[in-house]
Amino acid sequence: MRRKRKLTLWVLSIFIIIGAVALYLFLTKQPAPLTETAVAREALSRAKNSKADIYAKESFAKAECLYDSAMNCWKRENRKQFYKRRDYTKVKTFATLSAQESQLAVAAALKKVNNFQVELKSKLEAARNMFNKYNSIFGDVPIPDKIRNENNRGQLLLNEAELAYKNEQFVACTQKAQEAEALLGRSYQYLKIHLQQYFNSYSTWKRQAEETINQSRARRSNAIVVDKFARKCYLYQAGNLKHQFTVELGPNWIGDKNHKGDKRTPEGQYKVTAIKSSNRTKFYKALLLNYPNAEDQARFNANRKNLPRYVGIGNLIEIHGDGGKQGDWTDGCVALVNSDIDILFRYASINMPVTIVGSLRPLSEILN
Amino acid sequence: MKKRFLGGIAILGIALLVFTGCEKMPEAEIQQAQVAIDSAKAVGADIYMAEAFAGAQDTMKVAMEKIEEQNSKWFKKYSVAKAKLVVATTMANEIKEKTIVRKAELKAEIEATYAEVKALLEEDTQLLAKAPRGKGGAAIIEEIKTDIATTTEWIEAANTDIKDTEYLVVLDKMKAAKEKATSIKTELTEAIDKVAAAKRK
Repeated sequence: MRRKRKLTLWVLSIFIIIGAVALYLFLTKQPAPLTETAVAREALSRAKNSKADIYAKESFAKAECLYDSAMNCWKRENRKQFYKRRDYTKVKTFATLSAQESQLAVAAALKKVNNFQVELKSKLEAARNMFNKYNSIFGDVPIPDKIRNENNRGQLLLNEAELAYKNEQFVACTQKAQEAEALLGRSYQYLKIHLQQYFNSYSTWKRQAEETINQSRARRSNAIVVDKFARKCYLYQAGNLKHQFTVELGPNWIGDKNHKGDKRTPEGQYKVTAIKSSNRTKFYKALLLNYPNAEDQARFNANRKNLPRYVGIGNLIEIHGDGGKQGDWTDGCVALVNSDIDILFRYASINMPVTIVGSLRPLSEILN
Repeated sequence: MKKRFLGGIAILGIALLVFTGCEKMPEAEIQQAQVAIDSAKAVGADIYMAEAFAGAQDTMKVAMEKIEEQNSKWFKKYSVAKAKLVVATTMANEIKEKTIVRKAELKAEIEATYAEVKALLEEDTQLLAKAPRGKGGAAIIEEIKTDIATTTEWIEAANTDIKDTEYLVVLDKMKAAKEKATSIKTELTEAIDKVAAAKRK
């Protein structure tokens, strides 16, 4: 009996000692970082929803890295057998930092998205306006294939950038808008330089047109002024505008006519030298002009050495019918639709002044 | 003496069992969920089903936190974590399937838009034959031919070697080309109509 009690006491003491040691070793020093990691994870999820992984890449990556560090730290601590030795301070720190970084990433992403929306919207609108503004001019001006190709690619990229904007893919949109802007800008720059060179003669055109109109007023006679850029033919009677018609020209209409076959409509002051009715022209009706005049001849002679020997100055420049084909198609003549040439014929006479100019409006006005 | 010693060992063993907990970590479930997520990503779920995929990843993270929560305790119970892992696995598998379907839809849409653009460009080329021609009309026709050629080149380039990750980009390219081909058609139709109207005049 005494031995049994002794044994019980002995067993109890072992239990108490083991229990005490176990309690000391396995008792958690501090609570697990449940809240901190959950908060960090939720913040990270919010950041992802705000597309911070795209628009605040660095910050988001940092937040993600800090969360992963918190989790790895937590695992490492949990691998320690003795709870007393587990320390979650680092886990909590990493998780807290991750949550903070996620918040920063959200703010940065929202700001960037907002900026993108405002900036890209105006950028795309500007590019589209530029496209619309220049495209009507672009279609009418003879342009080398390479430039036209660039313009086409620019237009395709602009379409693509607008789709990317609609789908809220702002990074792709920015890249495509930039490429479109560069291509369109380059082709329009070419157009601008090309036109600026052409418009160097604007003051001459203006003077010649004014002279013709003043002469019509002074002599109370009829006169014709052709504005190549506007594709218009104006009929003046005693200095007053009586009619205006749409015209079609030679396809290389930019610049003065230099020689036969250059498909340019000449510029200068001319006179009607023959009135051809239907049986004398294949273009319904025609007014033959005195091209080449003395000025044209002098210019041709000056350039003669640059031209092949068989190339002549050209002739038979007319204002004729059969127009309305759309686009510029003549060999250098001015084409009107038949109903318009009928009207013009009523006012036409031999020696009637015809002034053909590049433009009656300055380039600055056209481009704005 | 020997009896006492054995008794002591037995007690120590019981005590250790009590203190070290009972359940094992759900390694298989973790592995399964991770494989499901990785294979969903491999088919492009992060691109084509981004939101849903992020949801699955988030569920996986919750599960891992639940596991560590249990690992921090004396008595471990992984039932909640296991349930989360099952959800993550199911989600990832479903997303994978949906991604495959979405990609097939996108591919079909690309093919349809490509065919549509090709047909439009063909129509443009046919309209070119009816386009106004004069002595110099060939130049205008050449210009429009350049437009058609650029657009054709564009869709052919977009349609070649389409990467698995680029269906959305390619689709946008096709749509942009469709817009351009349509504008060429409008331009040509208007020109033809104007000529017809002028002839009637």
